[in-house]
Amino acid sequence: MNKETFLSEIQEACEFNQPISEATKFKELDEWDSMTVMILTGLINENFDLSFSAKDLVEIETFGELIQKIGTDRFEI
Amino acid sequence: MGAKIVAIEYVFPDRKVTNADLAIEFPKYDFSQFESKVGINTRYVVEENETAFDLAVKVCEKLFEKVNRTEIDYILYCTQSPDYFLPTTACILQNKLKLRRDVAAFDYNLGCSGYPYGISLAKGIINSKQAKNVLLVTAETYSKYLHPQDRSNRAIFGDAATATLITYDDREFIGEFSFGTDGSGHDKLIIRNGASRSPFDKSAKVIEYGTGNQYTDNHLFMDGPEVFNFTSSVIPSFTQEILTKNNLQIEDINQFVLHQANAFMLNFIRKRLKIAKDSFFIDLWDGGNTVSCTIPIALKKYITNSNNHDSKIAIVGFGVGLSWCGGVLEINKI
Repeated sequence: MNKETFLSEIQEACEFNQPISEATKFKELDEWDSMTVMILTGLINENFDLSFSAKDLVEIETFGELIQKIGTDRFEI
Repeated sequence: MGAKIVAIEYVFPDRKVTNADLAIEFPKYDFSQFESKVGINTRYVVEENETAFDLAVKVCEKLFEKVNRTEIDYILYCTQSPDYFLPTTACILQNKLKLRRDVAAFDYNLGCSGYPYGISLAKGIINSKQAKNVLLVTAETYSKYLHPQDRSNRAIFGDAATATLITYDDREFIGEFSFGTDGSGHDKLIIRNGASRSPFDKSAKVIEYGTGNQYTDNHLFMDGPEVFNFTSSVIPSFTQEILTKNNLQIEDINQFVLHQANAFMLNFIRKRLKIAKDSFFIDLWDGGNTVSCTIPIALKKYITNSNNHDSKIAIVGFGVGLSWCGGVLEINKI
């Protein structure tokens, strides 16, 4: 999966009303709440076989930082 | 020889609790966001002196308006809210409903996976010629287990009871079922105190979780994010496995009826499986998450409103245990 596909999967699963990019600060989105956290971590865990939880999102702000945390080498170019 | 669902009924308790009612108790919480994402507006809860058994009696009497009670020869009673530690509630139900004395009757303790388990068991009992007419009852009153300040769970869970009659038929209407168990997650949804391992503790300390929710070890605890993680990682592929076991594709199923846990989780699963909205049941607006009762309630609503005379339906239950079970069945309009 490349970064664009990942972001579009996030957009669809979390039902964000505005477009998102690596620069988007996800916690500032209107739809951001505890349920969005579950959907986002669920998506990460399923796609990358990881075990992310809400705690892993505490110190990061943007989707770009999230991609870094998942590991850029896990994404296709 | 085969087995077939011929009747389903459900009841809620009379006492209705809307989001507006909860908003009075929890004025700082935005229930409009909850309502649109979780998909629940109203849940029903029993009175203090009313039990799951009382609801079970009501729903069975409703079923017996259409079905002859003397034909019942097996009672499967699914509950985690028994009237007593012992005896098994199903025996009391046999007497109360004036069913025959040669019926088999027992309780089994499962939550959200309980209904598909019951259908699978009923099929086995009928096909092995141990009984001809199995009464499957689910009855649950989680409201009794919730801490008054546990806003999240009070908003999600509702009480209900359902009754299903599964009977023998020349043809098989109930397909293959699959199962899953992972006891390493037993503490993700649990009432710790009150049984043998850890007695009821009248001075149990109040514990905070999530955003301002409270509970004690005498109450029900659910680790919502962990349960979501389990469900989102296990249930999409499990649902696919069930179809493979039944030699079916997603397009062959008229309706997917999964345990109605909450709308955002169901939508997550639906999207992962690429199932069209019309083929995937989501309706917990009126009633909420009623544990083992959600699937039969959904089946009844779907069949009543569907234009199809015959429907091929996939049912999947998942939750406390952790336990999951699902299969495929055909239902005629009933």
